[in-house]
Amino acid sequence: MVLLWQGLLLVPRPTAVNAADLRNPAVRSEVDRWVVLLGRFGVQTDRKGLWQGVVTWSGRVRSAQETLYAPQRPVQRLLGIDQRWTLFGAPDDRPWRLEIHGRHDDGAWQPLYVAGDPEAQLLWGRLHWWRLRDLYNPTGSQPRHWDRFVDWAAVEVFERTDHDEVRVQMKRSKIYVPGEAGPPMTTVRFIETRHR
Amino acid sequence: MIDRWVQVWNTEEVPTPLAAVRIGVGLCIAGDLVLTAALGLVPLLYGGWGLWTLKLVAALMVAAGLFTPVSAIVLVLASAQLALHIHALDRGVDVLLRDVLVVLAFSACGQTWSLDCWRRTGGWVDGSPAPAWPRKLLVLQLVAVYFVAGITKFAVPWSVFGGYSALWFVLHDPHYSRFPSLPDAVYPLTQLGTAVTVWWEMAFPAIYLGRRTRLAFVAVGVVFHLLLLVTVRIGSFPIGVLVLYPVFFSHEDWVDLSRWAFPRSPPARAGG
Repeated sequence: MVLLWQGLLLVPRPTAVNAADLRNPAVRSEVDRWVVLLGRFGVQTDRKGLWQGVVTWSGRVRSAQETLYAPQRPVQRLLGIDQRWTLFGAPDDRPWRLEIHGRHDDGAWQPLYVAGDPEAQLLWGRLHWWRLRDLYNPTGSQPRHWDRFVDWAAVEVFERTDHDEVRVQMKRSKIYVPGEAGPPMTTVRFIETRHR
Repeated sequence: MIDRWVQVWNTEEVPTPLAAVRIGVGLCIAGDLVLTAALGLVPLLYGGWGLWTLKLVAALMVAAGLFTPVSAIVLVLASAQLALHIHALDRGVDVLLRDVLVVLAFSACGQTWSLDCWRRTGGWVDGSPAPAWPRKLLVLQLVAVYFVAGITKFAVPWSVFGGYSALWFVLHDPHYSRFPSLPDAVYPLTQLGTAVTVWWEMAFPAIYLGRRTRLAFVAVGVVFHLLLLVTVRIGSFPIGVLVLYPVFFSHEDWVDLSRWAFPRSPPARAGG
């Protein structure tokens, strides 16, 4: 019975998606790849049509699985056990980059921490710790604990520097494989500032 | 059919692989907690010291093999509570280690190499046989982890149609990569790594074909996790899974492997 239970949990479960998710460039990019791929096998569809199918069928599968798993949920919740395994299942070709800038009153913004930039690495020892990254790393929408993280980062910067203002933001850039070319496609989101 | 099923699971063996896993899991969890504290992040991440302390004490007791079954269950409950406290902090490796600890709690993992052994026998080693099903179940668990991780790599970059470019993107993610400015020349290597990763994961059930196949898959796994450790910041995952690897072989298999790896040289003859 235990094996059967855990075996049921192993069945891959689609994440909840909706029509609005198609606004996410990473989702659009992946759907476009699938449109091209399916076209090669003679299945003609477009971005909108394919995504609508994904939304409809993943919703049905999720609903059926939720019903199936309901009896085991209390034990699962108490012990925190599960069988959902994925590691970089959908690698992002538009990854986010955390940036923390500081400035003095009437001064220009200075980069204090920029992920991946060896010139701006204030707080890097903590910001690189995987547990903390999970607090700020976005997966499309604003991280759930973003405000809490920004408050913490601002306090840390004010303790270590004499800046009067801190700006925390996420920059998203397109990664191209060698031989591929395109515009930089950089966007900045989740901008928050804190004053001393 | 049922008799055969019972025969497969109802065997006995010396539980040293389980003891090794117990020590590894306890130290892995304790190390993660201590590093989080050393960085001064406990109040921010865990909201206070209560559950952190409980989890650390339980993890150390599991590693030491003191009141092992109770310690393992306390560790599972403390970890699950922390997961409920901030869900974003609960990663796949945390879930995996809780799954493993539940099995360890019902196993003889504290029989040897433990304070429980010392309290009971006055020594550190007890080589008496114990039920083998927990080790076999943990092997099945690892097969499930790799196989499901393989088949859920739906994204096109993990396939030949996406040019096996997945690792190129992963290694350019500034939040994960240790070397986010890779030169173009390593792109073919990342393609090879992507292909090997996804096919190795999906083929992992092949370890049941025999001991040599199992050894080959385990060897690739060790290299895979060590490369992950060196190239990307994904916390406890590479170590947290590697500490489970002793279960891939029984005590007797490990003895054979160690004899093969370190053959005893014949005693030197006196005189000459």
